[in-house]
Amino acid sequence: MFKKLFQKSVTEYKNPILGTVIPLEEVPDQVFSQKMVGDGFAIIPSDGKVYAPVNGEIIQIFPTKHAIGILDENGIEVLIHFGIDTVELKGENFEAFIQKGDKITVGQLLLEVDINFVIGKGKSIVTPIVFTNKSQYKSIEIHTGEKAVGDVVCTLK
Amino acid sequence: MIKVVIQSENGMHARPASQIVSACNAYESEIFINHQDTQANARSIMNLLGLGISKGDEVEVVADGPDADEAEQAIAKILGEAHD
Repeated sequence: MFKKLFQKSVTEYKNPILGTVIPLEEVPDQVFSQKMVGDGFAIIPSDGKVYAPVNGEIIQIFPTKHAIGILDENGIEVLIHFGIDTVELKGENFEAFIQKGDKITVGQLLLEVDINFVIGKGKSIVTPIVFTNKSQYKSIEIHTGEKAVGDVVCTLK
Repeated sequence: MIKVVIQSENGMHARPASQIVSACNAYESEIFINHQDTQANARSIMNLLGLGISKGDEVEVVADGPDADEAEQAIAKILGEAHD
C-alpha cells in the first residue's frame, strides 16, 4: 500500500515525447480508447525518445520494453505504452535506459524506440499514457496539439 | 484456489490485463493472481502487468469474499484463453 504523506491536489504532467497530443478516445485500440485501463491522453510521436513526464519511481518495465509503469511522487500510477500491439515486436529496436526500482526525475530519458522500424512492421506508433489507479484522481484536463518535450500537457485533480 | 497455465501468446500484456480488471468488477471478493513469489491484485492493471508472465507460466487465482468461487472461475477462464 502506498502511503500518501503529502498529497498535492493537482498534478501536472510534462509531454514525454516530441509529437502531437491527442485525446485517448482517438487511440486505434479499444483497450485504451474506451479507457478500460484508465484515463489519460495519447501522443503521435515525431521522434522515438521517451522522457519522464513526472518525478517518481519505475515500478514496472515490460521485458519487451514497449511499456513502462511509473509510480509518481503523488501516488499516481502512470503507464506509458509505446505504440499499439508493439508487444509483438519482442523488444527489437526498443532501448530502455532505466530498470524497475529506479527513481526518475522529470525530463530524464527513459526509452528510445526506432519509430521507422515500428511503422515498417505495420504497427501503430500512437502512444497512450494512462493513469491506471482511477480511484486516486477525480478529473483530468489535457492540452492537445503539437507539443515539445517538457510542455505541460495534462493536469490531474 | 485455481491453477491456470497462461495460453495468451504474448503473456500478460495490456489487452488481457484489461479484460481481467473489467471482469473483476462483477465480483465483490478480493481477487489475486499469484506467480511464484509475487502476488498481484487482479483489480490493478499495474500489478497484473508487473507480474511479467508469459505463455506457459502457471499462476494461481485466489479470491476471498462472498462470491470467491465464481470470481476464481471467471478469472481463471480468461487467463486460460488464448486472446490474441
